[in-house]
Amino acid sequence: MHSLELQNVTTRIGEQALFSAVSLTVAASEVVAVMGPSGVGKSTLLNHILGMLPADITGEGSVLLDGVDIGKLNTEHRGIGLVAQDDWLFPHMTVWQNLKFAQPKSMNRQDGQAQITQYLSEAGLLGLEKHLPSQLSGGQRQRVAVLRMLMAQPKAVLLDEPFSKLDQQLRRDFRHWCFSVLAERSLPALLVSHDPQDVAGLRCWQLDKGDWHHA
Amino acid sequence: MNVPARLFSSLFWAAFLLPIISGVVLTLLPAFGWLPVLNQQQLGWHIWQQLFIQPSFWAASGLTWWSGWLATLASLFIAALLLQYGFAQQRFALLSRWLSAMLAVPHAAYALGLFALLAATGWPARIWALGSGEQLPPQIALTQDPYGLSLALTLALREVPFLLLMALAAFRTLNLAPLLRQARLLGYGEPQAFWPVVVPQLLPVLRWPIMVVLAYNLGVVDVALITGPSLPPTLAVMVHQWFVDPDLTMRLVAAAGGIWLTLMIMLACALWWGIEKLIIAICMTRQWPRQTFGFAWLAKLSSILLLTAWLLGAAWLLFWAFARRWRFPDLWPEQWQLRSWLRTSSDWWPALVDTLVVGVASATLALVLVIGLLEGVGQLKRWQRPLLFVPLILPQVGFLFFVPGMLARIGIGYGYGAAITLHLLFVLPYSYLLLERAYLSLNLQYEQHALLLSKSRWRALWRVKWPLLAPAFASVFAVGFSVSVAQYLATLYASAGRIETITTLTVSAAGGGDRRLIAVFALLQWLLPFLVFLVMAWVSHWRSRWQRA
Repeated sequence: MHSLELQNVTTRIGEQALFSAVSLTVAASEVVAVMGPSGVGKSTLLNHILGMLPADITGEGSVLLDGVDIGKLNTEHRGIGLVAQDDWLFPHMTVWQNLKFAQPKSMNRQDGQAQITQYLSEAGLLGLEKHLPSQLSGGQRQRVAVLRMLMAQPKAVLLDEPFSKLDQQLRRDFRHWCFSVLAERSLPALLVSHDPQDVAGLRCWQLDKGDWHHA
Repeated sequence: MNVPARLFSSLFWAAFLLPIISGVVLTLLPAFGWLPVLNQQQLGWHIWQQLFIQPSFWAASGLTWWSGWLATLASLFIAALLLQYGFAQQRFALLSRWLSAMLAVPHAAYALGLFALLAATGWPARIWALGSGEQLPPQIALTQDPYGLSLALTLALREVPFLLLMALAAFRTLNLAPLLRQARLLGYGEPQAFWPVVVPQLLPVLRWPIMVVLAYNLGVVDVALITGPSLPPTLAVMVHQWFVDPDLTMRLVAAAGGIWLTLMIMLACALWWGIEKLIIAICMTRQWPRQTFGFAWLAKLSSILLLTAWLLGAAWLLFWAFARRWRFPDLWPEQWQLRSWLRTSSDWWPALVDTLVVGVASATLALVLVIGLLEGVGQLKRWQRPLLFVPLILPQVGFLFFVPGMLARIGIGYGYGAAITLHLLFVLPYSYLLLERAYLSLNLQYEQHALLLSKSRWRALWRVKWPLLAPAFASVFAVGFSVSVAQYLATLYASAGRIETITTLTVSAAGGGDRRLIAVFALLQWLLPFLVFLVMAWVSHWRSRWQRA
């Protein structure tokens, strides 16, 4: 059972803190939402967790994954997956190749193939494995992006407005599918969103003018 | 900066700056009387006094200044004309499609094609003779005229594609098309919108490319040997002739001549900077007419002239390379043959191999160094960028001659090693500028998402980033190869007779009168980069199939 914990986390440009320090814990199978207007530092917080802050921004506080501080690790060793607003599927790879790329090297060929087939089947994407990302619809691409993230076997997941580019109907279906997929795998997830519908029923933190509030 | 990054950065700058700095120093010293190998160790101004009293020195300097400026201003005028009438908006579709291919043609081959076309036995003369019933070629010489007009025309036509490509890139970077559209929507006509809206933004961005063109036109040797006047020749040709003079003490005068030419180019660049400011000031203050109909026709005519000169030049070389019998005023040969190719195969075959070895090696090395630099250190800093243009601005006779001797002392002997080192100087800047653009336009998110999938940096590069950049790598390699193929002086000085490329072979054949021989060599020089471009275009097309899906 995995958990993601932030302890007194903040980020700074020079001496100025972008937001007050935040401490929160996301348990296994739980999705915690972070809301707030554009530009308050929500994505910067995610970048800090991922170890991808730009050179001019410094991060403070501890990021614990299953109780272990991952703050000093490189991005690729942190074990955190990301699904963003844009899917960032590799455009030169087919759906199958995108998923295969994400699997750990240690996984043997047959297990790998079986896993991809099973995931595609669960997501209703079977038959599209030879398609390039540019041949898929927006909803299909986002599903593949989630599957690819899961293939890398992350211990926690960050969702950076992953539903914002989808239309209302698709958005509801995809959100439901995405949350259930994460819950099935007992993954803790931190969701950044603007839309109150996305965070309905979730434990929610509001970031406004640099301060955190429970919403 | 980590160790590999520092290593690549050091290698890049060492490969680039060391030959240039040593070349300039090793040319400056003899210019002031210091050349110990010839027992000349008296520092002073006496070499300069010798230079200034050389026969035709001042005439050659004047001719160089005139023809260089004429060619540059003419190519700028044509490029501006085409841009003003919608080149960036795809209005000259045929010309835009062939622009890269036109740029790939080495200067010497282009000059030979145009030279043959404009000669007394060229197609225009033949068409005139067929119309008038004349059986003999006219007694007028349109090439190698004493005023350098044919030289200026050749250089002007050859440099327009380069300026247009640079301008197109600037159009995209500065996002000028929507601004132009906006100005048109506000009721401005094409010239009204182009000069005050586009030119003031475009010229500062094109400052370095224009200076490169200006410096090239003032310092060119191979094209001037083919289409330029000979009595006196341009200063660059004169200096080159002094360098290879059997009287070795002339090398000191040549060194002073090279430095003199460098100073002329510096002055020209400074002058252009002033002219640029003046043009911008005029553009911002002058009232432009809504339409200038004559200029629209002139733009169309220019695009036709550019394409015709390129296509007919190539066709002329192709016909002569396979012609057995081609009498004046027939428009095409009566009989065809392969004899010219077979007869000269012992010359061109080894030259072809040398060209391929040096071209592939320098293009590959440049690509590896630039990729290493961009991955390790990132983009060059603002103050480092002008350094890239140094070898393109300096005249080759002003710093290249003594570099191979210095390279021989550190173990890179005359021949392949020296040739590749010298070619790298000219390939590296183009490779960097092209690849930097590709890196900037690639979204970093792809690489970051590969890292987020727990993949190592190497795997992210091999599987994600570099495959996405493969089309750009292919283009950069093709450009690097064509730049290498076109090098004349760099090959000549580096080889010391040990290797010969198609370009050195073509330029030396141009001095003779055998049209078939010249056509065979020039055609090879024309085809080589063209074929590499085709192969690389295919590779690029194949690698970027995902973009078209």
